[in-house]
Amino acid sequence: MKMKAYSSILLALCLALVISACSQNTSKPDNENKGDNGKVTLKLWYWNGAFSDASLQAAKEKFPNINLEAEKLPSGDDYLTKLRTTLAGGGNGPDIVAMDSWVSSMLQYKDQFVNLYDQGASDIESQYLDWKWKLAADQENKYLIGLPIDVAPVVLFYRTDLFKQAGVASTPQELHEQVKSWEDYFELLKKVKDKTGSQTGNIADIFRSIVGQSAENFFDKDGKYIGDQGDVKRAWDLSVKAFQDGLTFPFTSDTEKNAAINANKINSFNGASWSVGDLISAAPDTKGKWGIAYPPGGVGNQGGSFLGALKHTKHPKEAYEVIKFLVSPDNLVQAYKEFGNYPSTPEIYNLPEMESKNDFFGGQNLNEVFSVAAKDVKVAPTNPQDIMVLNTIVEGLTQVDTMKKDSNQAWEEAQTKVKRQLSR
Amino acid sequence: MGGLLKEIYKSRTLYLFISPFYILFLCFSVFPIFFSIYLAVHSWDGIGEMKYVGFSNFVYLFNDPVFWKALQNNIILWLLSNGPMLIISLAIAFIINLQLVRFKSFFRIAFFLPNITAMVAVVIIFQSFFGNEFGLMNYLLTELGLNKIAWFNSELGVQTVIALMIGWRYMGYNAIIYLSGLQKIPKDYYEAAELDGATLFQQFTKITLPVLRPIILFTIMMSTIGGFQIFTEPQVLAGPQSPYPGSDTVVLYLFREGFKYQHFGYAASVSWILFIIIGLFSFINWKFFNKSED
Repeated sequence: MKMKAYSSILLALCLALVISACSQNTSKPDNENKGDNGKVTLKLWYWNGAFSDASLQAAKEKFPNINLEAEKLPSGDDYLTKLRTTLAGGGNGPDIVAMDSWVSSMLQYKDQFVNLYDQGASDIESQYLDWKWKLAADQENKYLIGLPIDVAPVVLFYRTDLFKQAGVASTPQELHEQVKSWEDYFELLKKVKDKTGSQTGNIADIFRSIVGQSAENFFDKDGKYIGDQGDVKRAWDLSVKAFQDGLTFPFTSDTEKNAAINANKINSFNGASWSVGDLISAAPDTKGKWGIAYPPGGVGNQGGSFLGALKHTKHPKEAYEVIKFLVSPDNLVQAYKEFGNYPSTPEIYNLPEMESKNDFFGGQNLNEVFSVAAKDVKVAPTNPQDIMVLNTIVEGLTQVDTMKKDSNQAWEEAQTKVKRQLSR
Repeated sequence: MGGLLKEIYKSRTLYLFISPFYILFLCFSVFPIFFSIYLAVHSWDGIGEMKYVGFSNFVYLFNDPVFWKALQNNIILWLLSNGPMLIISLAIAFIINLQLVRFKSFFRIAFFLPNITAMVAVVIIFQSFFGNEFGLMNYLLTELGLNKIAWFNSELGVQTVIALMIGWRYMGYNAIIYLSGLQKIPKDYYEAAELDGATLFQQFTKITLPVLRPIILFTIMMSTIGGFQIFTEPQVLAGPQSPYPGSDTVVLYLFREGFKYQHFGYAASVSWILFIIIGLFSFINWKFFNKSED
């Protein structure tokens, strides 16, 4: 009987432990926050590569009164899901969160974030690229939910050797001056294809690039659907034209695309600044043969992150100070040197530290192109439905390539699908 | 009810011992099931307010051609993968079970191995194997003087690749289940049949199949349930892009609506319709295979 009693107690203890491990510990922060030494605890969520770990270390040293608990989480969709779940549960969790280019989709829940303008963010606004800053601000520019970390301007990646062989413009200078529009670019691609048999990225890549550099995408700033006309239709028609002229590589998986790059079948593509790293690891056989140039048709942006604070935090002031420090120009240079995240503070673009001569790109100083491109980025009004519309239209577009569907029919079908989704 | 509670109270220590399972089961299975019923009649983006919308989620669902297309793909994939796979599994089990086959445990392990491989890795390997331009399969075809096949450009091509993946993965699993059933059949049946001059084929159709009926029913039920939950293969195959033609399954549709487009209420109603469809098909299987069990 005694044995039974003991084991019951033991089990009850285990259970209590299990249950408490599952639940969010709400009492702990209070004790920690007002701990004996008066230290403030801030929990920070980010993913590997969002910013430099060295800056994080520097932040810990700079703010001795703040106990900065940084948690590195898996990047991509998993991170977004976790953040959304946290917000759904009332935002109890981290104090500071990194946010990717989906930051604009969080503006509809701005109440869950600290308004950084209240903490004095306007004072540093002039240091950052204007278009980038605005992505995290509401329409009236009264509420700011994040400070910019890096930007990802989309530029033209091209094979210098293949372009030379075809006798077309092949230096960044020439390309910037001679290849202004997509029509110019297609003319050039025709010549390169005739001489070398190589093609550009696939039909969807072209569509995404053109949409990305347009002043308006799928919705206007009042949320009205305009994805069945204007720039989107133009992007569709241009992509289909490039495909029909045989300029695009067939739409297929990334494995296939990488194999094609290594086999000299792809002569150019439009890629964001982070494509540099991807390309280097994907196509080792083509080392030294690549170059980058100002893209045809203007500059778009694909990615780049922000740091914001959740409303639930008990220390918005300290959180803001930490964020401000982490996104300060000095720390952004650090991240650029570590993994090539291009800073959103133009004042440092001309610093000698920013020079990045890359052997993979035949010793070209990539900063020369990125620094010009970053300032020219155009961003369109965003809408929470953007992802759905983009997915649906791209799915229709790829069927023009893969299943040889009639372009007009595919366009009509995609638009019907989109409008059905928007109707609810 | 009162009596039951009394009984539970009497043996409370024992119940305490098994409680960890029940608590987890309540939190992570029972609660979500009931919550999803509630969710199915609401519109919810996962963060904002939940709005009661009655049955309009279901109305939208039944009128959505994308859903019906996904269901159609799903049924084709299910038939394409499980039909041939179960027949081959049975044949494999029958052969391994023959007296003259040696190294039985080697074959058992070898056929079962695919089942424990990481699914994502398998999909990626199949993806490069069947690549349109640089795939090994197309290389072999051209070496044999045949034309390349653009596997991922047609519905049937994509469905074939996915069906092959599923077949490859579950063939051994089902074969092992059949094998355990075969080993339970008393040897006397076969000996008697042999004395009467029955051929191997006659033994298979007149003894093995009838005795194995409940096990066949089990495997068909399980593969029906699995077949309507096909998700990883088409998801990983197409990566972040939209699904390849013909590979949009019901679960993929549900996942996309819920976690990509944030229509959580709608996704919950899709899951309930999926539940009903699976129940329906299981019921048909059960009727069909149990009819002569008199």
